[in-house]
Amino acid sequence: MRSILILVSLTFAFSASAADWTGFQGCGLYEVKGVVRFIKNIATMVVNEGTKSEIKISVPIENEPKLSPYIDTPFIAEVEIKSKMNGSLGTGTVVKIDTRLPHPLNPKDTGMSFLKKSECAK
Amino acid sequence: MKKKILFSKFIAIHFLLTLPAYADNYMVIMGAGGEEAKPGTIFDGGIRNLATYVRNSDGLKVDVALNGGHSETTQIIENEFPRGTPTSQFREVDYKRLIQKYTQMLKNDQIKSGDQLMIYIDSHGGEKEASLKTHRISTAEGTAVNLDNLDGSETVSLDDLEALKDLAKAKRVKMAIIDASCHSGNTVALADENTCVISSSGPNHYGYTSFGYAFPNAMSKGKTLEEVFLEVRNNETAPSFPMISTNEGMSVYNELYTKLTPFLYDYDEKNDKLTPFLLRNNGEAQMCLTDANFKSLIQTIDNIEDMNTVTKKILWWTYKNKEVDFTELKRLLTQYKKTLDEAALKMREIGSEQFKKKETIQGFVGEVTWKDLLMTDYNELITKASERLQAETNEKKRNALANNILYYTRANEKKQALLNSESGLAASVNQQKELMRSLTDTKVLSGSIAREERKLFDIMYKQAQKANPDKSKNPCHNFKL
Repeated sequence: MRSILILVSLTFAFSASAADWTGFQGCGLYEVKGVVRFIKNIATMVVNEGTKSEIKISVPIENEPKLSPYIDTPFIAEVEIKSKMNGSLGTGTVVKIDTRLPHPLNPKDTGMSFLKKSECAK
Repeated sequence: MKKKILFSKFIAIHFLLTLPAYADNYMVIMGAGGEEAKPGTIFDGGIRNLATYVRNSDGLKVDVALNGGHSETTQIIENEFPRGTPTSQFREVDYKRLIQKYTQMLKNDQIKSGDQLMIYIDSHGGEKEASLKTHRISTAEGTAVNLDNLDGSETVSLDDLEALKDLAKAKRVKMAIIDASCHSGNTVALADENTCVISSSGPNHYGYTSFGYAFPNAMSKGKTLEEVFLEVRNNETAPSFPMISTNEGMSVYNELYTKLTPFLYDYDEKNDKLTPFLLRNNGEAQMCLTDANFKSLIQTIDNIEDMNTVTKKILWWTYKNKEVDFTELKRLLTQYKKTLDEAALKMREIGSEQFKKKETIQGFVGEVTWKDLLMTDYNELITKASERLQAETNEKKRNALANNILYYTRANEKKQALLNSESGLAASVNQQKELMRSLTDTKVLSGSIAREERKLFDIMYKQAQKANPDKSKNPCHNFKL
């Protein structure tokens, strides 16, 4: 019985969970953790890649060079979103971006979190 | 008279009870793709053993789609499979044709409830792509020059098997998918309570031909797939982490795989998984997490040893008798961890200060770090932006794209100038290569760890079996050869 309990507790103790995406919370500044991919030749931020909660955020052409060092690389960025997201698709401007080190126990530790509210563009 | 009636009833009941023995067995063998142009393939040994299994399995209905253009392999297929076995090359068209054929047979009830269908795959297999549930395998067209993404060869996705296995489940036809390719742990995603999936490797590891050879060699009438898997896993010892989709197999996988992952990698100039792992994990926070991971692995092994230690009391003496001893595994892991730590530290030292320096790009506002300059593939960016510029009609967007192309061009010139003028940068790259060469011994270490890991998996699997003695919902146990 003791061995069963230990085995069960070991199995669940280390299970990893994906970061939560609680949905678009309005225009504002978001912390975005994902990976940059070329989608139809356009560098795009992809969050929760390959999951049912995958989100794609494109940037204005003028802002694309900011993404250029991070193609196929995990990143963490602050992104200003000024228009309502269309389902899982959005557009934002990268304010700050850096390489992200994926968590070795949970390499899919990607997601978006709301930092600061701002006005939507008219 | 009464006796006669009783005897007839007995015969009738016996006939009904033994009906499942007349269930039909179907097998589809696919793969041996992605190999370079030469007479044979690395899959030949496995193909021979599969043919032997087929020859020894009376009544087994088989379809073979293997290889394409390798004369020796073609000869093996022609000579060793029983006469009359339908065979073809393994191209995309063959893959789709076979899926269609078996889908139709299930729909028409030609394959009926209680029958068994096994899909056996042995080819080059790629890493999981984000858009896929499973992974891709090479077909006979082209040569896979990169064993991670199968560049150079045509591929098919094993996601295409999902509808087939769902149909088999709906029709109560027992299903098994054996994937002996690299990165085949990704195929376990197709498992359900009706479909047993067995793989030669974990999702992020290469598989080895030793598994593809040993598995069909161990297949024989009367064994369950679970028995074959456990037998092969204990005897074949490549650093690959073979998987089985049973609850027991998945619980051991969940407990061990992530923590064991780097210790089953080794440095290889051509097919290297260790270097990218070290590059991804040499940050300070990352190294702390890797440490925690390692400690957790050792703790797990200690717990397994404790669970299998018998304490005996004779008079006032207490004896502890370890029924399983993983001292060697812990020693090997500790040695490998030390090697990886030293390598990661050296990697952090190499060029780290230089990479923080910043540059301006002529005509553009802001600064860019050396790291960003050196890490960016500006040629690719220029190509893609130029293609977009050609297709773009909006004047404002065309100007923005042209501006980006100018930026990428000037940044690229700066990057090349840096590489030419700063010999240190080129040296950093060379130092890294030197460091990697010093990691060559990891091949021996990962091999030794894999041998010990097989024992650990076996013990943990058996303990999980004891915890869950009900095998009625275990498709790998219920699939009998």
